[in-house]
Amino acid sequence: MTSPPVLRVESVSKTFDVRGVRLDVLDRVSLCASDGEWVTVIGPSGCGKTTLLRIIAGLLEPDAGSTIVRGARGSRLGATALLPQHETLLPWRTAIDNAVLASEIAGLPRSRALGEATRLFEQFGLSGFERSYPWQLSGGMRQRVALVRTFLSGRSILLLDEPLGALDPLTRASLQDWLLTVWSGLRKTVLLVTHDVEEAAYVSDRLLALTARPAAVQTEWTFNDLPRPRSRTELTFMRRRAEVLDVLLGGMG
Amino acid sequence: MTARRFVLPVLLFLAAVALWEIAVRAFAVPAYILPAPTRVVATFFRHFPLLLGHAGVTLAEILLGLLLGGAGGLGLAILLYSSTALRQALQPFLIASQMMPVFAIAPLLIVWLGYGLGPKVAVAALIGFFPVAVNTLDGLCATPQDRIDLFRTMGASPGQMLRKLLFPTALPSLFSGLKVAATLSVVGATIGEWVGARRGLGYLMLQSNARLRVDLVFAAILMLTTIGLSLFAGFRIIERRVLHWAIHHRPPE
Ligand SMILES: Nc1ncnc2c1ncn2[C@@H]1O[C@H](COP(=O)(O)OP(=O)(O)OP(=O)(O)O)[C@@H](O)[C@H]1O
Ligand SMILES: [Mg+2]
Repeated sequence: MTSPPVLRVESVSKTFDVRGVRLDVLDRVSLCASDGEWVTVIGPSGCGKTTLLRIIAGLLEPDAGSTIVRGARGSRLGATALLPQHETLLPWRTAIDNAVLASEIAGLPRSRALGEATRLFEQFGLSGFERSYPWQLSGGMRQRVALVRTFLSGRSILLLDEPLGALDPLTRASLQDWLLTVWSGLRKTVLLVTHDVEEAAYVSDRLLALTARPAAVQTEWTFNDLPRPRSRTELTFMRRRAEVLDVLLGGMG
Repeated sequence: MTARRFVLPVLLFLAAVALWEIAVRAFAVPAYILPAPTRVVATFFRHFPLLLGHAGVTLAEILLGLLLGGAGGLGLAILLYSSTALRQALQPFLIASQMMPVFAIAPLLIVWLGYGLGPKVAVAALIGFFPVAVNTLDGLCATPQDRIDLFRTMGASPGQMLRKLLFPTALPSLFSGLKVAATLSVVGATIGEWVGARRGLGYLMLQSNARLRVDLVFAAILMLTTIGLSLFAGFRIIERRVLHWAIHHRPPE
């Protein structure tokens, strides 16, 4: 990737103070993503991945280091679209009204947003559920609605915190394909957090593995040698996936 | 199950009324001490136009008081929610204001606002205001932090945050407060009329009492009860329509 990064995290450190006890969570983490790139972060549970995304989104300030989104050092709130790890649909809005929430807040024209949402609902297998309320949808469907909301936010940098975490492997696989289609169609920059090695190798341009808490960047891979669309059963892919797994397991002792 | 929930109270009510009727007849209680229910109902219908005229005045006082008290309570709740300093400064006074009986200042209100609608509306508003403010504030404070964070990452303005997140979240609590306020404002308007009025059901009760027309007093009470119940039922119906989503989704504690 030769284009300048749209997202740059430079030696970011974060320590929480939990009732007087210091908890080091991020230890000089650096990463960058250029326009249209898909960067994935993988790491053990509790290492600080969500904290990293919250810092990039502007919800938290790091104790040291800097985060630059689109060249600006000021407040990052509203500069990226964050898909939180946990369910965040509003129960009083229908699925489609939830999907256009971010674009509504950004002040984008409603009719256009609704049109795009309807199209994305089709792509995400949500057709016919536009007027359903969140409690009428399955967990996987709610997650997809939240994904559509993130894509329609009008932001070009998406921060996805384990968006497919709660799904069964098959739904997960087909949603990965959907995500890739939508991503390449809309030319967004994606920073994905996941636990799943296969997912990481399947969707990313670049992959960063974090160590256990305090998280530091352990290894970084670039998957230039895997042309898209990728196949999960192709040999190079399987070799690369095994490589990543090897390093991650080695890191655990 | 549901049938029993209606049948049992109705049976109990009929039994109590029957007992009252029998007792009045058996002991030949004079009508100026305690009229029989049949006599109350007869009076109710014979003097229906008179009752209706006074009921209109009282209803107007109740509705205006409810509107003022509700709007004031909602406004204060939003104000207290948005400023911790204000909350800390005002909380003791808010509670102290409830220790002070509003009825005691009703005569003062007459002095200040005259004999018209004003003082009755003021009394109704003053006692309806507190439950609305307290309930709504609780509802606002129960907004889940992850939803607030989501709105912040979307770059929501304080106004958008209020309209699209805080207000809908607090709506169920606002309705709880309004239902209590509706009940209290009936009492408030009546007391306001007792202290000084030329029209209204409270005035009618005082007049009839002085003339030993206890049957008319009871008929007025019947009318007041009907107004109170209708208000409560009205709020329940609106609540069910507006908050259909809340039946399936209770906001987290
Ligand atoms: N606001 C906070 N105050 C104190 N400690 C926190 C706070 N947020 C997170 N932590 C702690 O920081 C550590 C990292 O949390 P984080 O949510 O970033 O992990 P994660 O990598 O996203 O985990 P998972 O994969 O399970 O989602 C945890 O030990 C957590 O308890
Ligand atoms: Mg997390």
